[in-house]
Amino acid sequence: MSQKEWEAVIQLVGLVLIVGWLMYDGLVGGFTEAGFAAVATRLVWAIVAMVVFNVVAMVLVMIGIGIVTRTGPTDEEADERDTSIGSRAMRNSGAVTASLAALSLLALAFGAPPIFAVYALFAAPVLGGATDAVSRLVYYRIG
Amino acid sequence: MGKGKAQISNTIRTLRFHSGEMTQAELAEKVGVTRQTVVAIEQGRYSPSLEVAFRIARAFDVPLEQVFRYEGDR
Repeated sequence: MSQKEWEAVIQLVGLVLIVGWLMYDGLVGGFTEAGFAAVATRLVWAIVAMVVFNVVAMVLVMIGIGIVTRTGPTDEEADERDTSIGSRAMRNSGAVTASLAALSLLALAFGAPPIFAVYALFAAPVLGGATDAVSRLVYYRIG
Repeated sequence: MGKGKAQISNTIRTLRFHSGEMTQAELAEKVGVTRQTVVAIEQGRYSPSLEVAFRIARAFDVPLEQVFRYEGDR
């Protein structure tokens, strides 16, 4: 598996861990009594945790690849195929993010509770990111 | 390119063999792409740009049509 595929895997694992933690926290009552600011603060921390996880995991994977290939940690250069795959994955991600944002607005227009907007602000880009990672993994397999 | 079955066949594996068993990594280095891209092109999973196709042909010192062939319907 190339370094870029590892990046996608790490992004997915990070998303699963953080969303899993948020869902667990919500299920045990973490969000039920919370107000807008409390929910938003928790989601901001979730984003920070995701970024930190991605950076640390990527550094560890680069060191691991460097040890296995005996080349030392190096940054893999992108070529035309990587650019093409990145563009197609970003297109899918953008479509998912925009669709979810539109659906969220629709839900709010039909009377969903306002707190829903805070969750939607978090969920739309997170699911867009997951789509990007899955798309890249698929495209690296099929061409 | 990622849509349907690839209709471009290639002889890269044979050409590598006739070039003293050139490795995929060596070809990638000569062409200026990653080894994964060479693997994908060789297996017919990715159709390269014209520029990369020409660079592959030049790496083997053969004309382009000796490396790639279009297999689509007329």
